[in-house]
Amino acid sequence: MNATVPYIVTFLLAIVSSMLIDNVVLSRFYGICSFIGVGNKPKAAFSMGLAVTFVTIMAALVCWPIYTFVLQPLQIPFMDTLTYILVIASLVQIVGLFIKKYSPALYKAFGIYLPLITTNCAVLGVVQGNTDSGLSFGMSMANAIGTAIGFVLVIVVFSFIRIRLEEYKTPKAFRGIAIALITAALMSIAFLGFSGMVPSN
Amino acid sequence: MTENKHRESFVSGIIKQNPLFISMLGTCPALAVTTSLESAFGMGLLFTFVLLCSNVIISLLKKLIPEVVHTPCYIVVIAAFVTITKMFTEAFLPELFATLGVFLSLLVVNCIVLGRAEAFANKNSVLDSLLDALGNGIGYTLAICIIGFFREALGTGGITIGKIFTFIPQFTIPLLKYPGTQVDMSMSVFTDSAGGFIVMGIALAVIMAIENMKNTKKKVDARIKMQQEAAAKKLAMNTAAPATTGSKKEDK
Amino acid sequence: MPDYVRWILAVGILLLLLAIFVITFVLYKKTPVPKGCEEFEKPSERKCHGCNQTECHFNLYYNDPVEKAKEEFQQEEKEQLQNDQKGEN
Repeated sequence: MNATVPYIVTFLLAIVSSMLIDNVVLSRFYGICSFIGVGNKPKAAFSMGLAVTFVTIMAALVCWPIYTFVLQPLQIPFMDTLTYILVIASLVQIVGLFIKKYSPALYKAFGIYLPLITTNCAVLGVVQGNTDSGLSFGMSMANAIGTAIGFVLVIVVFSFIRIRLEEYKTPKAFRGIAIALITAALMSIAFLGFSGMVPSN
Repeated sequence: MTENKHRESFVSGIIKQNPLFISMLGTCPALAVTTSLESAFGMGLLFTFVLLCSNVIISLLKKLIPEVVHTPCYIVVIAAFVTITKMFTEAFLPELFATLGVFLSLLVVNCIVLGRAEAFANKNSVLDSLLDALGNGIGYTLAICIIGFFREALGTGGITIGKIFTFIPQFTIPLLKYPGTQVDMSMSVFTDSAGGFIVMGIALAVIMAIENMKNTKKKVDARIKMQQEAAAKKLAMNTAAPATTGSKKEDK
Repeated sequence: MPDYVRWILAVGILLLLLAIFVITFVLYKKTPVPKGCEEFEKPSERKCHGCNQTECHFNLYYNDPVEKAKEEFQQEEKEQLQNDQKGEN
C-alpha cells in the first residue's frame, strides 16, 4: 500500500498531520508563552506568526544538514542543542538585521517580537524533534512547514476569540489568562476531531 | 540587613514571585510534562539544577562578560548546562529522559532561566544568585507538581510512584479508582492535552481570587487612610483661611 | 579518526557558530533604528519586572491596589471640587 503512494502525498499528509492533528500549541504545547502573550490583537498575532514561520522553516532547513553531515560523522551528536540554539539565534539576528535596514514597515510590525522568537519553544522544539525522532530531510521540512502554519492558524484564531472573551462578563477571578486557557482547552478538544484525517500506521 | 536580603532573594521566588503562577513564565513544560506527578517532579528537579548552575556561573562571570554580548553568552552557558543535564539524565534516569523527550532540550529557551540570568544573576552576588535560583526552582517545582498531581489523580484515578524513578519500588495510591471494585471516577480528559489547559486555568483563577481578595483589603485600607488625611487637611485649611480654599486649588 | 581531532573539531564548530552569532548580534544592535520605531527599543519602564507581557493581569502596573485607590480618590476629589464650584456659581 505504502509503496504506491506518491511522495508528494506523503509529504502533504505529514504537513496536515503536524498542522492539525499534532497541533503545535494545542497538543504539543510549544509556544504557549507567545500564544498567551499576543493576546487580543489579530494583526500582531499574524505578524508574530509570520516571523515564527520564517524562522522555523529556515532553522529546519539549516539544522538538519548540520546534524546529519557534520555532527553525526564526527560522532558529536550531543552538541545538537547547543548548535541549534546558536543557529536559531543567529538566524533571528540576520532576519532582524535585514528587516531593520531595508524595510521599516516590516520592522514596525515585527520589531517587538523578533527577540522573543529566539526563546519561542516552537522553533527549537521542531528542530530538536526532527533530529531526535530521526526523520528524513523531506519529512522534517514537512514537519516544520506544518507546525509553522498550525502556529499561525491557532494564534490568529485565538486572538479573535480573545476579543470576544473580553466582551463577556466572566467571573472576576477568571478574567484574562485563566479563561483564555480554559477556552484553549475547548479548542484543543475540538482539534481532536481532526485525528481521524490521517490513518495512523 | 544583608541577611534579610539573602532571605528575600530565597523566599520571593517560592510564592510571592512564583515563576509559573504569578509571572506566567515557563508555561510550555508546565503543561506538557505534567501528565503525571512523577514526571512533573523530575522536570522540576532538572529545571532547578540547570537554573542553579547557570545562575551561579553567570553571577561569577558578571564582570568578565562584556555588556554588548551578554545575551549570547548567557544562552551558551545555559545551553552547555542543559547538554550536561541531558547526558546525566540519559545515563542515570533513562525513563525520565524518555518521558521528558524534547522538553529537556527546551530548557534552553525556558524564559525563567534566561530571565533570572538577565534580571538577577548579572547584578547580584554569587550567594544571592544561588539562593534566588533555589527559591525559583522550588517555586516552579511546587507549581508544576500541583498541576501534575491534579492531572494524574483526576485522569488516571490514582498516583503512581516508581514508574520513572525506578529505584523506588512501584506502588499506586488509589484516589478515585479502586481496582477490584466498581468505583472508577477517573476522567481521561485530564491526561490529554485539554486537561492541562483546564487544570492550569483553574489554578490561575484560584490564585487570582486570592490575589483579588488581598488587593481589595489593601485598597480599602489605603482609601480609609487617605480619607482621614484629606479630612484632617480640610479641617486645618478651614480653620486657617476658609475663604481662599477654592482659589488656591484653582492655581494649581 | 583519533579522539582529540574530534574534540578540536567540536570546539571549532562551537566557536564558529558563536562567532557568527556574536557578529550578527552586534551588527543588529549597531544598525540604526528606522524612523517611527524608536519606542520599541526601550520598553517603557514597567513596574512589573517578571515578564514583558503588558496584557498580563498580574502586571503590578495595572494591579497595584494602593496606586489604584489613590487614583480613584484623586478622581473623586476632583469631581467633588468641580461640583462644589458649580454649586457656588
